[in-house]
Amino acid sequence: VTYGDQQQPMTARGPMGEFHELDTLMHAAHAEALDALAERIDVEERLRQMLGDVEDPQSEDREPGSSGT
Amino acid sequence: VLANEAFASFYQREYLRTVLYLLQAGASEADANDAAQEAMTQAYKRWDKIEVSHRAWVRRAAFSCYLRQQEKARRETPVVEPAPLRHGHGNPADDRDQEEQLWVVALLRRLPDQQRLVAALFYDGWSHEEIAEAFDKHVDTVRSNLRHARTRLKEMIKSEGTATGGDIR
Repeated sequence: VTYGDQQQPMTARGPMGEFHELDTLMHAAHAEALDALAERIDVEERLRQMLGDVEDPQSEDREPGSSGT
Repeated sequence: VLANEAFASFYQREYLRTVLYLLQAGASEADANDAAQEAMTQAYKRWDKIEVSHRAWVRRAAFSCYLRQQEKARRETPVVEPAPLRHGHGNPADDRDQEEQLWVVALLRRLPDQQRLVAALFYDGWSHEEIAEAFDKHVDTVRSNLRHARTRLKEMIKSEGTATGGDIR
């Protein structure tokens, strides 16, 4: 998943708003941060782990804080 | 099956965004993962009973989980410092990469609480109305918080630039 492709700059006051440059920069930085997290965190594995724990609570013997990375 | 598919799709779309939101609130990556996972688990168990927007519900639940973690840590250790962003395991190049990739987190953490949380959702693409619903606030209050946050962010970037060399006029 490339989060950067999903982010569209948005401003409350349109392209001429006083925060347009800031918003563009911040949206891009936000997308970049999501991409960086996506490289480190295996979301599919986290989902499988979560569903496994819900369906089989006895299996909750993993260490707290394990990020699945 | 349909509910499971809906949840899986929601999870894939929202999990990392929830983690990033908690990082911006001040959580460590491990705590953010734990709180996001706990919130997702709660959402899964009551998926059809959640009456507000699922993503608003999960952000609120995740933030509550994070606050509970903080409270527990505070009881065990009197002074809790904000979690460091660096997880490069001592490798300066990894530290530098991570600092650059997550500079937006470091920047938002310097805002006052309400401004920080509102700005985090705004830059995740939420509308003023959605943010107001998530925080149970009037939309004018959200607009005001956001204006203060953006003014402050603009000042910070103007005076310091960004980790990646970006700048604004």
